[in-house]
Amino acid sequence: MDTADLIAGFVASVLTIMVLSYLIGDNPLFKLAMHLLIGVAAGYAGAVAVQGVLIPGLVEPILEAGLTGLGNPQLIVTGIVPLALVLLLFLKVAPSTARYGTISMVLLVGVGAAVVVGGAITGSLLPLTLGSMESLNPNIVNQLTGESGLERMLNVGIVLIGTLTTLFYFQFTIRKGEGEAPFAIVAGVNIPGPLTILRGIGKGFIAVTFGVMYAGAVAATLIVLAERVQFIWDTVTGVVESIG
Amino acid sequence: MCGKPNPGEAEECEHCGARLKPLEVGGSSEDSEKWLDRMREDVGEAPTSSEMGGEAVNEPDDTSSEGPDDLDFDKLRAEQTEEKLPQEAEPAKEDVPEWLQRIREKKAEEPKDLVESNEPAPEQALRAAAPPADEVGSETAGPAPEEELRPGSEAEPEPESPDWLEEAEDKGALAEEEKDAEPEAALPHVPALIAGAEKPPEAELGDLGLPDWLGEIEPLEDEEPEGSAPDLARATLPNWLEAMRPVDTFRSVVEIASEDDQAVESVGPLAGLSGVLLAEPIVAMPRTSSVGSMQLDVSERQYDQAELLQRLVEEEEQEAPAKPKRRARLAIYRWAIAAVILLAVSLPIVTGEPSFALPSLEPRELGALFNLVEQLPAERPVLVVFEYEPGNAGELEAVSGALLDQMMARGLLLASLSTRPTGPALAKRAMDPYAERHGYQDGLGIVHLGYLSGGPTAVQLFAASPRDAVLKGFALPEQVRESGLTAWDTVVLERVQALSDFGMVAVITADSESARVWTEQARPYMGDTPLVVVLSAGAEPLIRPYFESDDPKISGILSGLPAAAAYELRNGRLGLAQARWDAFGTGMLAAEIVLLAGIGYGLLNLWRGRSLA
Repeated sequence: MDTADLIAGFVASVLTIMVLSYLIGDNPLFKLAMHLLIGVAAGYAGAVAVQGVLIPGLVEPILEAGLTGLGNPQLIVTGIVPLALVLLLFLKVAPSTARYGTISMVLLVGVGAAVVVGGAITGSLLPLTLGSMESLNPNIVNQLTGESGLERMLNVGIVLIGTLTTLFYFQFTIRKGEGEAPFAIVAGVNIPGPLTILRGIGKGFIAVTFGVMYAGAVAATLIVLAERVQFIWDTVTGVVESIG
Repeated sequence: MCGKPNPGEAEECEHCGARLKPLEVGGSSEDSEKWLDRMREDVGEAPTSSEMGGEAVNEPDDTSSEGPDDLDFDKLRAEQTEEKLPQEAEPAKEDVPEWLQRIREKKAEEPKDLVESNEPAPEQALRAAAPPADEVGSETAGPAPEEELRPGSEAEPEPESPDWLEEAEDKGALAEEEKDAEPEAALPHVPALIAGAEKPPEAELGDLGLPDWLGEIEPLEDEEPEGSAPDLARATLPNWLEAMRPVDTFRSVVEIASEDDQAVESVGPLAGLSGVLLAEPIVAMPRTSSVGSMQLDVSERQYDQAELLQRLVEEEEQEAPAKPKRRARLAIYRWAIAAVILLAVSLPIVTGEPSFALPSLEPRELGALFNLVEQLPAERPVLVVFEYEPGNAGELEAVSGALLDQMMARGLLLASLSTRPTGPALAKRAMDPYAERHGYQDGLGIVHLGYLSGGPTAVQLFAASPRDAVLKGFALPEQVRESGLTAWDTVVLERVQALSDFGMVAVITADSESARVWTEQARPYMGDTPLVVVLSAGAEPLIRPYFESDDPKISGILSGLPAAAAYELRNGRLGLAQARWDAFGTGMLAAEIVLLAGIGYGLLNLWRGRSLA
């Protein structure tokens, strides 16, 4: 480990400990580390955007074309118009001129929304809807998971029940607090109606889903913590070795 | 008035003719006669006292409200004493003026029940603040002029029961007989009429022989003592009359200031006189309009909302009490849990113990992914998309390491891309260790396309036309930059024109959103090119449906450290997943123990609470 790596590792370790100091509550060390990280991230992002996007995509084509090439239709579409939109977007800085930047914002938001909605319909909504209508034919074998026979039918059945009961849970035809009338009363015990039972099952599926997501988040956090502890330990041993 | 000097004995200004000396009450009888004549002439149809033959003296006279400056009260009293008629005596119809006759007829036509009702008509309510009709009728018709002029006459009408009218009529004769014996009510002091003169004593004013209605004014202004009229029930002020009352800012009663405090009028025909009634309270001061003063039809809901608004305003005005500073409590539980987990994670790293066996079982989808990578054509590059922030690098570098290791072990060409500004640096950081292990060089086996700005729109643009979306590249070799080439000109990407030219697209992401965006936007342009996602453990449940459907949009999925450790076992090489396996295992064990302890503590509290209940 050379000196530069040693110094970098030491600084990173100190920053990690400063962030972990949030365990004892909000403190200046934590705030300092957060401000530093946010500032560095923002500065790095700005530098990357200028170097990787603005200069090669906007500045260089116009400079290479020169004054004589400004009339080129392709350059107008790919260079001049985007440059004008960028300049209009800059006007958002001042409140008095902010309304001129709305043109660029409209273009960004409108195109972005159209792309996202279109992709969501064709890429998620329809495929997943069709995916939940799987056949219960036991002879079919899933090409990726290899499920077949009873196992696959059981899996498809769980998907079907989970989908339907979850949809039942989110039905809003019953007013809040009213609920469904009990199906029957046996020995003073209310037997709930079918809708209530289905909603309860759907609630269970949702709870299991959130539980799995929470467990995954905990697992991911523990891996990150292990990586940080390993990094600090490596830095400490490296410093000790370099001193020794 | 004009300000020019005049002799001391002059009574009128020689220049402008204005009176210099104030008139005194009890002037010459000639002056009073002239004034009365003038007023009678002005009234026209109103019969004079002489014309009525002594009976008309009791008839109302509007001119009495004029407040003549040369009023001779002694003479008037003498005339009233001589010509006074019994109260019950009605003047002859042919002598009564027509306007008075109409008033009397109207009064006679008024229904009795209206008088007895709790909501008298406006005329009755106004009359309630005035002297009794029969008494007033002997001197003047309608309400007293002073009462009309006084702003507070409307604001504070003495609520009189309608019975008052009847009782007053019954007592009229008796009151008339006792009138001479009783002292006259004090005349309101009007300094403008006797400027410079001292306020006369009450006894002298009582001897002025004031009209009866004028004598009744003073008691009306005073607060009537309780029990003074036990037979009279207080009338309820009707709503329409309540709405006509002046607002609070309006001075309901004009208090006549002392003589010294009264300002001298400076303009107008009354200039030079002090104690002049101010016109501002009547003209300029705001008060409730009498026009359209209908009772508002307020519903219950509107009333509640008004009350709520009023409560809000009142709460705003109240000074919020300073909250007592909460006593700082030590986060014992938080510290204890953090210490346990930190210790559990650190122990295997520092001491190497305890150690856990690597997973013997692997996820079913891992085999499919492994085989997929094994079968990728070597001539087609693999696009690896790094869609995570630096905070997730610790997990995703460990999980994706096995996949990168396998691809580099196979000698596949790799290209990296990211839609996040920090992504290119993270891509280089994640790939460099394996590149070094397998002898990859930038520009030859690996090329970084860099940052793709624009989010989902840019992903679609890249999928449709990769070379138009990314122009240069990131961290290109020096010889490539010097020669003016881009990443697309390198050996890795020179044959790529579309997204389908890649051998595989692998998206490494910590959130389900990025995986969904690539699935939705890029998948339609990929053709047969498989799409693989490497996920954080928390995002896997939301992406798995894309993988497990009969028509999968995702060809391979890798998530979680156990799957990565199993992948490394398949590769046969030690990786980051195995290096962190022990720390991860003890950390998960500690977390599970903490969760179980928390559940037990909660159940214990629940049981204790029920026991106490």
